[in-house]
Amino acid sequence: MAKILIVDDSKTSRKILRSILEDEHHEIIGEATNGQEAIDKYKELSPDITTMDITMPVMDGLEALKSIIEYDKKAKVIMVTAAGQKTKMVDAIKYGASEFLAKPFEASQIINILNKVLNS
Amino acid sequence: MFGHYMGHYLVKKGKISQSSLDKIVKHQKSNPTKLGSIAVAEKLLTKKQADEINDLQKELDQRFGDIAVAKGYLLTEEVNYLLNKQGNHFINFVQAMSDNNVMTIEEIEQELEEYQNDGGYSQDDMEALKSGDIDRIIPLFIDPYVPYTSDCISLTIRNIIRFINNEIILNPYYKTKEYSFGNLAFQHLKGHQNIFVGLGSKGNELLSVAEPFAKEKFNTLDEDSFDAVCEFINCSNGLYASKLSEEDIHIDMLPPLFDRNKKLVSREDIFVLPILINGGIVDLIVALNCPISIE
Repeated sequence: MAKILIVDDSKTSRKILRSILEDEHHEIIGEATNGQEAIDKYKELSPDITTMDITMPVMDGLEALKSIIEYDKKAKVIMVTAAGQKTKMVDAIKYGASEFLAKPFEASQIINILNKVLNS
Repeated sequence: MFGHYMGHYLVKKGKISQSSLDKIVKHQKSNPTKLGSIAVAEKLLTKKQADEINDLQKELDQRFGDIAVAKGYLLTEEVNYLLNKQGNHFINFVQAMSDNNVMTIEEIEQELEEYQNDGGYSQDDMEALKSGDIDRIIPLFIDPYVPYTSDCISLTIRNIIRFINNEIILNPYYKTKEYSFGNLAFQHLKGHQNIFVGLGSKGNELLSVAEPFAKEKFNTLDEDSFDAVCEFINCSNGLYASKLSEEDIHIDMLPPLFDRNKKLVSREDIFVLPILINGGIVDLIVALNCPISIE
């Protein structure tokens, strides 16, 4: 079981992701709706894994990823992308993202990736 | 698929009742029509393989049979066998109408002729409709040669069928420079091409998109249900952006937004495709490389 922080501006996406992860007995310790909130909650909650949407208002997921990795080099951040954001995916790898999850969500894909990151 | 078009037409003309049509739809649903289900029933695929292909279908813009062949799960001959087994949508529809004593085959043939004349469809168009093949049906309702716009509309329709409702009815598109809406969810795509994609409705019809996508019942079109529509648009556009990136065309997706009781105004054409979803009209709106204001 992992302690997970979900970051996404879409309530629908947060709800779907939460439901899939809770079905796998993971604990959702917090949710954030933009990059700045994500940084604050990461520092407050120290999650095992953070799922981070890329396209968000106020501060996007890439900026938040950079800050979180600066704060904690061992942070495990899985970037969540709508397909097609290849350039941003390359940037995310440079900044230290652990893995990627593609929208629309598929339970099997999420579980595989989460296990991979947890075991890395 | 064809049953919905023809059935809706017959109800509109008062030739059959809505309850008769509902009975036909139920009858058709009771027989497996999805290729994956038939493949599992025929023991050509395991349930796991069929689910895997269904998952891949959501990520890739490809047919079930093509993915199954590419994965090495099925041979082309096996796909053809399954397609044959799946049957012709048109024949299934006629059979269901006749079995339920809603119309005789002769009456259906007569109505088909009127449907063809009323819609101004050619024989080829009718064959496309009867096939139930969405790739052949879409060009009947949109101009397939408008750069980017046609592709974007086609892919969004396929995503509506995949993620929202596979019983939609398309109406012919129109072009306008002003579009008034009661409710609108939209997203701007910026980059090598600037594309505006929205789903609009006069009233609460967008709930028919929000509820199946979020798998949640909403009573009204509020912030939460709009969020679900916005997220569907975001996912669909992501798949479109992915397709474009294969052609080395890169676009960035801005966060989706929503608005109420205003109008879109553009100096260039806005393409509007009305789609009947669950009894209500939802407009798919696409505009290419033109500034759009919301007034």
